[in-house]
Amino acid sequence: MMAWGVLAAVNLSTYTASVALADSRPAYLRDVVVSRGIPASELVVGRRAAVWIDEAGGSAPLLLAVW
Amino acid sequence: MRAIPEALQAVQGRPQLRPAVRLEVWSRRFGLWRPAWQTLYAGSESAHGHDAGLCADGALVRARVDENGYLQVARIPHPEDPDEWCPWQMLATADDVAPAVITHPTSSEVHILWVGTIHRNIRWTRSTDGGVTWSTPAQILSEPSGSRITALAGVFRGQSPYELYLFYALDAGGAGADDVLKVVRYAGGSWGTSSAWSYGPRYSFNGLDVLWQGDFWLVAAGRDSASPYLPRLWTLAYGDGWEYPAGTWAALAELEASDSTQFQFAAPAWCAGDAVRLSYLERWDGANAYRQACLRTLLPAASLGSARWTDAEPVGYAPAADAALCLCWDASAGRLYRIGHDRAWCAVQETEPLELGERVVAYTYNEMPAGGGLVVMLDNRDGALSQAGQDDSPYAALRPGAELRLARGAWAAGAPYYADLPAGMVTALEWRESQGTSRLIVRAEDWWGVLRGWRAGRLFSWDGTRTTASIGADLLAQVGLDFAADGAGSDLMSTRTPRFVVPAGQDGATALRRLMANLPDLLRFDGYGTVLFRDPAVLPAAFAVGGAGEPAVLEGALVRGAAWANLCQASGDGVFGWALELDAIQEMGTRRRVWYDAALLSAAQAGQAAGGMLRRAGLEGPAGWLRLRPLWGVELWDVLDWTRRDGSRRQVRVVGIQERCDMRRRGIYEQRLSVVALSDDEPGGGV
Repeated sequence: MMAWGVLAAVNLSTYTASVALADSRPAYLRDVVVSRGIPASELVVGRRAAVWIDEAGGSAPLLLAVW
Repeated sequence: MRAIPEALQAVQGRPQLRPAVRLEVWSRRFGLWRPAWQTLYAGSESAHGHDAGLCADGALVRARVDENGYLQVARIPHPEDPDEWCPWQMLATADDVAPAVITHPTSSEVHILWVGTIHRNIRWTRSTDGGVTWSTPAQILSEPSGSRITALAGVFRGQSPYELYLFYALDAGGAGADDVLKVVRYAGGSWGTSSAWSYGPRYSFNGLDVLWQGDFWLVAAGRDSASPYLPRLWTLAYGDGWEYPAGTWAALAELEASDSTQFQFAAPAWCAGDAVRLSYLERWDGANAYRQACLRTLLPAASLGSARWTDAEPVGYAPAADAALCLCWDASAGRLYRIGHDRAWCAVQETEPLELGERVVAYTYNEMPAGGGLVVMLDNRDGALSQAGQDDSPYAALRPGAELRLARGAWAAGAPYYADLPAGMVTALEWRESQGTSRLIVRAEDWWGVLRGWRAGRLFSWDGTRTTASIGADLLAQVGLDFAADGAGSDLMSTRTPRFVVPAGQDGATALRRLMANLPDLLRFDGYGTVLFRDPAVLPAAFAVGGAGEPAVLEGALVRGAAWANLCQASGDGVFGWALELDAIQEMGTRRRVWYDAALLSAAQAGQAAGGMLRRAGLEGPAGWLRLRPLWGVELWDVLDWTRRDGSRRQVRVVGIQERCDMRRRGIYEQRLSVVALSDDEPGGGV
């Protein structure tokens, strides 16, 4: 499933991020794997973000896009 | 198979049985009492710190800090009487920190502790007559200059009314994370020296409460240790030799977390009564700021440090400042008090249910793997039920949200015998009139319905270190349900550790289905408060029907059809497992179920997942049915040993239960069971 939010923090060494999902009380989705297709320069905190979440939880959430 | 009385066992399946029906209505959900609050007091005190405790004689002792910096106390001899609230008496000067009132259920010893006006000392007074008279206030400790005590809470240790522990939070006074928790003991009439917390300091603690349950259990609100110092609500234990060695601190466990400094938690308070209940304030400091008190209940068998709390339920208390909603339990009277700075409420625990068995005209019960419910028709010819659900009615308990317990059975040897159906929650009342009759129709939903009605109020996320079983338990606890293995769950329930996420707004039933989607385990309700998961390979006990001396099968259909999958293949990262039924493939061609699950970490796990899914596919194939007189102990997934008219025997598994009883028309008292034939190569399958 897809979820939308705002990029809250980025860890460039692990290429993971924290995303504040829309519609949630303040709670970040942490350790979101960031697509290597997104340049580091585009990972600006505060930008909108799209996250894919594995329905059954098999895989870590994946940051697919920022804008 | 549910246990039923021997007398019912003896007559099960016989014709011409006289139905016996008992219908109970309880103000609870899955066994957890839902208090019906009545207002006791509405005053005009300003919102500052306060506390309360109940003495052995039932009197309530309150303490508060007023707007002028004075500690005031009040003794309310009969707190259930609204006229006795609330005779304040000034006692001493105080800092604006919530005082601690420490009482004991079997003693008239009462202690009040508060922070002095220099902000870093703790003062104390004691009463030996239940709060009627007080000793001269004295100082028990003083912290270094520049520090500040920000919260305190105390409790008697175990059964002793002479040994108590006071916990307090100390801000060292500098910038950043420098707040610690400390503890000081009172015994033999004197106070010891305080000892400090052995973990890293936090940015702040702004609220504290404590219970003793073998160890000292604290709930603390504050902000975390690393910048930007995010708000948290924690639980932690201070060992007293039960789970934790005496005198040791356990780590803080997050009960609630916020990722915005504008959304905070404050003023926690908890109380052990019929269950452990917790109150705290949620505080939003941004646009449209608010403070809202919330109540949560711990599941009966859960540890205070666990996440097995019901969802936070807002209650009608929104103070202008961080004033707690204290909870006090009077065990002898079964009363729970909810006390705010200027308000108080009381709820009396029901000991007897509302009994409506005499009024039952008919009922239908439906239980399927995806949910079901109960519809009961009640006789209302005398109009007595017309006010059901209204506060002043004798039938006030019968309202949406109540727990409905229907037990049914039969009369045998002149006495009624009953077997319980699973509990349901009332969702609707329908007053129906036709042809001179008046009926009240009560509709109740099962645990799936309750779970569907719950929606995540925030993001829930598990980091890949918790098992599927424990994630399921956290999830179901939100509505008060426990989660446990039914004999044995599949190995995957205890070995698979997914990165599971429930986004805000998703309902609980969808979340549970997602969690279990790639697992073979079957779910059913124990009828009271626990959802059970079971490996389908484990056969439960069987009923025998259709044979001589066995319950008769009135009608039936055995269906042999193709399952939706006859080959299942599961993959993880670099691991693979599969299971197949060659005979079924020969007949139907290959029907695959293929999935990838990165949480499968070994070929063995993948093989278990595939094998389990294949068995589950068999159970979800075309179902036949049986119509018979009620098997009162039958449950989902039970196996029936069915003797057919031609004398052949076949084992079938119950995948759905419908039961109906109509007292108006003799003879309608039957079950229709949806059944799936076990395949020949399952244990006990083809006979």
